[in-house]
Amino acid sequence: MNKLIRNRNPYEMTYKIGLLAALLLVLILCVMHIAFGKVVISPQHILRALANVQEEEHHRQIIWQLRLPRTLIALVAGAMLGLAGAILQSITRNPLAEPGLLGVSAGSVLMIVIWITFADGLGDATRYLPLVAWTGGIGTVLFVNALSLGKGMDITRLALVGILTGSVLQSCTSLILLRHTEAVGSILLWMIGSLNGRVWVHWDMLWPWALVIIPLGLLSAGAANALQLGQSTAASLGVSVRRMRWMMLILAAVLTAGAVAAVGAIGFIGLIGPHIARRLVGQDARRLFPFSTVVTGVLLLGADVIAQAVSFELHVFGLSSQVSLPVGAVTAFMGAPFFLYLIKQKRKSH
Amino acid sequence: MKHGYPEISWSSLQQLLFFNGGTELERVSVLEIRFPRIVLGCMAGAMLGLCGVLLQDGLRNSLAGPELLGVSSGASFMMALVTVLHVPVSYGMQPWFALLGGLIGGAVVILAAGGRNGGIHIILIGAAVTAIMNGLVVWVITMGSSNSASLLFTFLMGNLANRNWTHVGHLLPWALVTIPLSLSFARSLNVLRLGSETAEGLGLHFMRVRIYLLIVCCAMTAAVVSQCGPIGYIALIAPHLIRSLSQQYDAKFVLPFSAMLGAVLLTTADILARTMFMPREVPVGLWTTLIGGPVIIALFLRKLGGRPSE
Amino acid sequence: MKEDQSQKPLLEAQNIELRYNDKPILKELSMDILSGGVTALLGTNGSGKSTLLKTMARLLMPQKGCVYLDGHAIAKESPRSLARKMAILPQSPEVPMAITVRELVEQGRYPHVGPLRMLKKQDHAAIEEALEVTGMQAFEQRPLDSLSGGERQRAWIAMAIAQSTPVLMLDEPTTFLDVRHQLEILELVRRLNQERGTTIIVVLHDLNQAARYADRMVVLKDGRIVRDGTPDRVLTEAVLQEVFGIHATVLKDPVAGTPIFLPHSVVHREG
Repeated sequence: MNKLIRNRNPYEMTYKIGLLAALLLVLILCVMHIAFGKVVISPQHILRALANVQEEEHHRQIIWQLRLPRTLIALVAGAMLGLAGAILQSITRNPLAEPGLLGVSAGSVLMIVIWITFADGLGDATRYLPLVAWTGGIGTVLFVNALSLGKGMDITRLALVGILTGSVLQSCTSLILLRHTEAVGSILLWMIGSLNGRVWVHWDMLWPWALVIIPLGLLSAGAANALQLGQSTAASLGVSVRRMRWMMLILAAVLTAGAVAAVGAIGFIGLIGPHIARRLVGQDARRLFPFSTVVTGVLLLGADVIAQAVSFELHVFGLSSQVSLPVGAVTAFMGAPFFLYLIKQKRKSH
Repeated sequence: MKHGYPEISWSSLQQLLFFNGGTELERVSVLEIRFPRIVLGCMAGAMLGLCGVLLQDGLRNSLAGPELLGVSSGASFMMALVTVLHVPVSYGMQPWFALLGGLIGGAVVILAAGGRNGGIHIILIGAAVTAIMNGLVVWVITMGSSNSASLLFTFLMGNLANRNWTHVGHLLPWALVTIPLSLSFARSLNVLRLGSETAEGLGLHFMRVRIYLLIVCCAMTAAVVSQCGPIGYIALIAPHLIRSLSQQYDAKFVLPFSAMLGAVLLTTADILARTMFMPREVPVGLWTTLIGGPVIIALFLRKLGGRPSE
Repeated sequence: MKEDQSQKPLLEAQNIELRYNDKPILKELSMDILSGGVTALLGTNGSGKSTLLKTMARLLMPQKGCVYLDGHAIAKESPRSLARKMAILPQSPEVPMAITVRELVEQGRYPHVGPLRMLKKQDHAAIEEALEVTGMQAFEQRPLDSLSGGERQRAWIAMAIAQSTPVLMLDEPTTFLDVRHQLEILELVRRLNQERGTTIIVVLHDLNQAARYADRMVVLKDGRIVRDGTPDRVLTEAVLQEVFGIHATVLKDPVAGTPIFLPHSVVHREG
């Protein structure tokens, strides 16, 4: 009898509906994403082009060569950032943690910039980009961790060292810029994050890693749940706190570095995505991790649709000759409503 | 003053300053280029040093500093916007725009953090806001025409290069108003450090004082940013160094000394910036971050206790 | 607890020495816990009682000495297998952001589930039971931070119960609760011991409550055990004066028959 009266976890339903809705949204956004750009392609044309209809050769080229890889990269890179953010927020037990927090993005960008400026002559330079980004990202995490681990899970310390290290690394990047002013344009795009000119080459270096690491991250949900209860409780539940925390930090770093290698240091996505997910499906990592992965993928894709559409508008009105809006700028704009929301939340709780 | 090209000896420097002697080249380079630069550095450094004390004591958060609270980046975003979009404002008006940006940045961070000023929350939000603003600055720069590199160096890194008496003239009124104003906060700061409830009990209007503090800080940071760009870590480090060197926490003591130390630090960094890689100049903001970052990490690690690693 | 010399101790601390920043907290301390009782650890602030509890749960590692559970050194056990044998509820555990009571209790099954962390039938049974024993069924879907202090503490205990361990350790479970909720928690603990045979070790502040609900009281001072025995033997005027520094009268509780004390004044030490 008791069972009948007891209501189900409200989040359970939201999770299922939300996941469906998000997947639906992915489809819609994919179509929109493919449709928008310097040339707008109607959905019928997209379908026909995807089906390799002969007379759509021009559209077919655009879609297969330019738009489709970009769509996929946006989706997967967003997903990786979302999962990284969710993992970090769980283990630091702080909803404001984001992938940039550990200095991962800054480290990756620095290494990328070094690579671009100094290894330019090498023919295959872009091929090693993810590896290079990873080196930077993981290196930074190791460094930050070595400085901040010390005793237990002192998150204040971790965040502080991470943020400061990040800003120092950013200065190093600037130092390189100073020496190589000719590369400024492309380096700026790395610093803010952009999907412009992403083609199959980039996709090829993104997906194998994503395929391995995203499932690993999702599997860590159980341990993340235990870690959320605090160090002592997690330990008493049989979690090897230090090792688990390490592994998850590294996972988050690898996820971030992978995304950064593909699209540059896109901000906020990894902060907002998990936030939205948590509002909808609650704290339980077994739901939160997958959901925030999907939601953030959707967000990045959506942001790029906006970026494309706005660039198109600007193009039409002749406001901007050749520059297209980097997606990182759009996500930065997303930050504004998010902080207004945070402020409103605080108002309510007072 | 002495260093840099052309190298000037002590004696001719003396000649120059007091007797109007020396060659034309020497006189111009000292009086018109280096001297204003030093004055500017001193003023900016002092203002930043004060700013750090105000924020740290006022928010009772030892990590507070304009660069971590979004004030600097807000101000630089506004400046970037004004410059790149060619908004027709006079140079004299620029600090006001920077002030607006700084206030927005700072207010968002503090409001979003709500009552929880204790440590990490505000820093995380500050980092996020700073990142947003930096993103927007980069975006504004990429939207703008060519020459983005030099713009970038002006707005993302603090720089004292190519500053002359006009810049000093712009900064001077701000310094004259805000420096004495912030020194006058000393007593309230001492009360504020005891916590909001005690402060209220002692008859201090807590929120109001805090808002004043924030405005004064924003004004100082904004003025500095508008003339020199965001120079990081001076505001954060100067008060800490003073406190740990003197073991004094009394704001009446810390405020003036931190202002002096700020000035010293900034001018030293600037001398380094000018001479290290001659003839190239490294923006001084870059130096303060590169050196200040590790210093502050070391300071905090020591303060937070425990060895860095086991 | 019966004084039965032949019974082997379930939990055994041997010559534990633990220093924190070179300050000794526990000094050459040994203690045996037999199966099936309620043991209360008592002492003044800083006497090392919480440290002892954490050491026995392996949340802290002693510099010297060893803790044995069922004759095995706990230092050598894997975290997971240890968590299947003993559960500890830390003092005022941190409240995670937004978690429902059921989600919290589900965490108790962590050491029992496989690598995919899927809950099976027996896990759900254990969770239901834990919710029932603690009377938290009605609150199952409520977020933890919306509960009152007493309810929240019961939710945490439910989590530890769901862990289904023969040993349960609680670090000051009654702190910050009003008197009714304190009794509720202590009665729950007592019931767990009597109905399920769980061996319970609990750090308490209130001596009267300890005397009322525990079989055995262990009193620590400066990192050493100074008194150990049944409440009648431990809660005496002499102990109160020497260890706790108060003058008091010890009476017999007219209802429960356990000793209770009435404090009179602070002992003023000379020099």
